[in-house]
Amino acid sequence: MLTCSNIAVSKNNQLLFSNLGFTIFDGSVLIIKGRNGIGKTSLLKVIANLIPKCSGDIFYNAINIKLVLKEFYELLFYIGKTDILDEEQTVLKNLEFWGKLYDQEINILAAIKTFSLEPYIDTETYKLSQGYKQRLLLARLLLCNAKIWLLDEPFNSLDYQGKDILINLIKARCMQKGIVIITNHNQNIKIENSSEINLEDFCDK
Amino acid sequence: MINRNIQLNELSVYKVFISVLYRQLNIFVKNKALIISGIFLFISSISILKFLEGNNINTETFKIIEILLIIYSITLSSDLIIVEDYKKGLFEQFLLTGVLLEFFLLAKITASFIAYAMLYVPVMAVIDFLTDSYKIYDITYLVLIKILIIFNITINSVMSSSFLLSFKKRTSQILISIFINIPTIVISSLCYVSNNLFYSLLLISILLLTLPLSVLLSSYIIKISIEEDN
Repeated sequence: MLTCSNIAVSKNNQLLFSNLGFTIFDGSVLIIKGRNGIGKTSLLKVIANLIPKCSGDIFYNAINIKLVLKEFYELLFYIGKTDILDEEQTVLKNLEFWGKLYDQEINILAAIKTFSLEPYIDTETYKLSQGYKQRLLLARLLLCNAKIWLLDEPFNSLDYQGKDILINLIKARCMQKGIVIITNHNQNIKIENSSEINLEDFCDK
Repeated sequence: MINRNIQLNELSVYKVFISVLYRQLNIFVKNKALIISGIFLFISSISILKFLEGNNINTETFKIIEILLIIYSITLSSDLIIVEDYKKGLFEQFLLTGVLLEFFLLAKITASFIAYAMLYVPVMAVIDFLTDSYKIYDITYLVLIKILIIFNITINSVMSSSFLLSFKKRTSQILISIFINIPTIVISSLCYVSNNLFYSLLLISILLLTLPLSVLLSSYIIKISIEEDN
């Protein structure tokens, strides 16, 4: 169970949102909505403790994450918007690197097959279309054992097949009592047992 | 059970170290144009200096200029170590692996040292051969000094490259790079002037001092920059 209590976040000395609180139970999905620049990515980074918040606390199973930061990091997997892929490397080399980093090399083949990346394993990443780059980025989800997934606009650039794959993965994670938090700004995504938060409700402007 | 967990963690950290090291070496190979242009700049500057000054320049002065040129040419490609990965958001991902950021930086420094040493030490040895420096110095001593100089400059360039994340201006990086390289320049000059093994021990001591300092400081700057940039 992940609880955010009374969170306020600012950027460039400007308050983005305040008094935000929610609890996500194991096996559920939270979709964070709101217009561009409202602070969806910032909220994910605050939950991941990558950036500071103005006020509030985050608890995992009633323990303040600040007290167990290292253990909390091991439970987390964050996929951001920034392109962290090595463009000059092949798809396989990229996955091998992340597989080694998370000690999950055994799942590389499964990641390739799940996201239908087989025809491109020896292709340099810069040659891939935006959709396949996003698939490669998301294939890393299968290379970690994290319980909490923080996905920043994961459906961007994906075609219907890619979206279905991701939704099925999210469902599978939830069935394993995982927690998934997604940001989404314009796409109408339907996931079973998901709840939604519109950040505009917590924004002063 | 606890022992087993510790063993697994050690194995995982070792794997992380190796994979980051291997990746960094790959980055150098893929960006060979940038590295080669640095070496080309170094060789051409040294050659021009030698042709213009000929025998009017003494060996010690020549060696000091050589060190300054190495600092400059390594700084040219130092973005490949920290800045490029920072822009990609890779350090955020590294932080979330639960492995200390310092391990990642140590792996990157080791890989950079291997790459730069493999490229610059042979080039410097050839220059020594062409300028007859090997007649004055013991060859093993010369190679040792060169390896230590490259290691020191690599560590310092990682540190100055991290400062670029905070100050955002290239001028600041070059100024910091010159400033933090002063001990290396002075001690390595003494190594050449005195031809005494004692000074090479001083060079090692600077290395042992700057390595942890560089790793800890760079890690701190990266974490601060992640917070500030978001």
